[in-house]
Amino acid sequence: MSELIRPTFDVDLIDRYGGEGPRYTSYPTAVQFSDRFGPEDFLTAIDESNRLPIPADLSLYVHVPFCSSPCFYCGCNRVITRSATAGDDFLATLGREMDLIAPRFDADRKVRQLHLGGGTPTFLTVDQLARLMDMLRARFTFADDGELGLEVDPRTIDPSGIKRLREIGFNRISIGVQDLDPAVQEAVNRIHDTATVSATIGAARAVGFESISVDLIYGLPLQTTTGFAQTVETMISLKPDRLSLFNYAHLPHLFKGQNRIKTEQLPNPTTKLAIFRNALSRLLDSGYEFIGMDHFALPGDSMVKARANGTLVRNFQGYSTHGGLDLVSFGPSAISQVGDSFAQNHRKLPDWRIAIEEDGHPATCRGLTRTTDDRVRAEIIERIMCTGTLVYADLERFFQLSFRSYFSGELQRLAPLADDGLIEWRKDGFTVTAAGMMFLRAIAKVFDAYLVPNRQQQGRFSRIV
Amino acid sequence: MSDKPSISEIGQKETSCEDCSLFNLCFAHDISADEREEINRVLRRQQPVERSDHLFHGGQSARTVSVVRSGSVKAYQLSHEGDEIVSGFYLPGEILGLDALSNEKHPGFAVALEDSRTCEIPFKDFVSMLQSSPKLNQVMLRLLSEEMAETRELLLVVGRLDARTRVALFLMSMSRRLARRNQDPDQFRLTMDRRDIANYLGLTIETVSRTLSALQREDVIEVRGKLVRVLDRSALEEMAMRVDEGSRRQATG
Repeated sequence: MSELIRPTFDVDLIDRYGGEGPRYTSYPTAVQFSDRFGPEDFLTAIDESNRLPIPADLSLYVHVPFCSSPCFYCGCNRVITRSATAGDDFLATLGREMDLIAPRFDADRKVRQLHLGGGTPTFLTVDQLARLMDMLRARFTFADDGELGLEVDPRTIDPSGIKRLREIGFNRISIGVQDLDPAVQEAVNRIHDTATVSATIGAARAVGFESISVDLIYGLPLQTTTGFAQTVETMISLKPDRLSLFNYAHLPHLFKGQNRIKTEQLPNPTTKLAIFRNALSRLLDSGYEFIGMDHFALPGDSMVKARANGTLVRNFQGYSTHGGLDLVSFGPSAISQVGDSFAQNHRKLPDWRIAIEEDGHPATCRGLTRTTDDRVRAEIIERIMCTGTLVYADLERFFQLSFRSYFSGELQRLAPLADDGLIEWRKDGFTVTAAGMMFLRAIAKVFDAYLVPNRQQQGRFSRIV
Repeated sequence: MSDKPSISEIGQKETSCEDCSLFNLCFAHDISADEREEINRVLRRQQPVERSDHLFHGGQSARTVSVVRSGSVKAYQLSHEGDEIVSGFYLPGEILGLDALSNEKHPGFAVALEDSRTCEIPFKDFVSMLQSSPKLNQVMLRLLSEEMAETRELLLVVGRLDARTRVALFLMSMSRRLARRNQDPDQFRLTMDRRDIANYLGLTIETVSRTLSALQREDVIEVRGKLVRVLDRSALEEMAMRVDEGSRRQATG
């Protein structure tokens, strides 16, 4: 196990390399998905995946689209409702969606991971979540040591609820905190006091949740350096195993809900950078390790081990410790990845429901199947994002190509990044440096074949720093 | 079977067996020049077969004897209950249809595992050549004897050996046959479904995958998608060695 690199902070480099870039939770990114890819293609991909010598085990994702009130910063696909029947109706359709998909997978393919995201998974009551787990268990075989996690909104659940989540099988938890400053909370319409957050984390720890994770967001309206520093100090004292520090992307033309954020309340770029810089150095000084992009974790956590021994991977939830799984996703807008195919469901709840209930087929509305070129680049990008090291020979062996000639253009475009100290050439590859750690996306971007020719995608991706 | 004009055209450029990259592997290499010339006159080169298309069906009168030119082919029989029983996999240079010689009907089925090409000799021409060509006869006897030995080995594999040995033997057989084709013996694609491998070896699909996973955990092989890489050749050989030396000799070639 090697020492993890501590990223350095350089304003000049941020100026040059902190621009927009995809988050590379997949490659190609979802922007490339085509509506020519439909339900039949998804089912074919599943059938093909069963044929492999060692079919991949499974990672399941369920998108619970509901929230009872809108957080103004949110860019996720969600439905704001207080309807009492929404949850039960949703579960009924979800059951049918599972019936269309689960039986296609050979029964020896075990579920190693489950994640519930949203929206707000805890919009569902614990009883409803228990039912959801029963529905999944009735249709899939779960590995004994699977990682079963969900996102929790501290406003929607109390410590006894957390205890019940553990009892129904969840063992990983991610808590959305964002910011503890009351003024910021009011500006983004998400109000919960520090005591609630502390009680949620405490309860999760007491009942044996592993890898307790907390999300924070910097760049929110009314945020100040001192205010956010206070949030960071409180979080450090609560010691979540993992902490994500997301950069708020203000893209109201893409996410309508963000129109309710007052632009004049947003911190200016200098303040935002200072907020980030302080948070970064405080987290590192307090013993958190930098995983990559916006992820931090305490040394004992499995993600730090995975980062150090090169088994870290990237998926739609960000970084993950478990690679080589086929991802099977349920619910509106959810994206599956089976073999080399991506399949995304209809984004809107009614469209998703009609496809399943009336048309009787999976709700796939777009997707793509990767070409060999896509696969090589996906592998390169994942290695840059997850291990920070690329060894050409590893790729040459599997893809039977000569790296230096296949990627001669990319290597040329990497040269200035090497001159600026973001990467360091090695005999047969390159390594990301401490200075480059902040700009993994900028380095990975060089290998993105879909970004090179046109500049029309400006404003589609969030800033890197 | 579909006829893609573009592929047929490519096939026509190669006008004699001597030009073929598989010549050294093919039975055509071992027969006399006169016999080869006779075959060249009737041979249909590089006929395209799409994945999942059949070369022939069981019970059908034999129309051709085929040599795999590229791709791979699965041979199978149907049980009385209608279940598929996989009897072998054919790689480039290997000949199919000899088992129809006794009653001019194919006893089993042959289906392409991927988009492939075959060189086809009309069955009638082949039979009449056999009656007049001593060298061809000799070569065919050798091939039939080899097939017989392989079938016996398969019976042994399915009947008596543990899963690990069966899987190791299968991987070694693929590796050896590819090596003979001047391909990397330590890295190859398994074009058949795991169902086919399981069926062929008399194992369940779960056992095939579990055994491959175990070999992977032990760093004997690495499996990515359909690609298999042999990391520890001697370990794999040792596993396969548990079989009686005599029955292995043929497969080693």
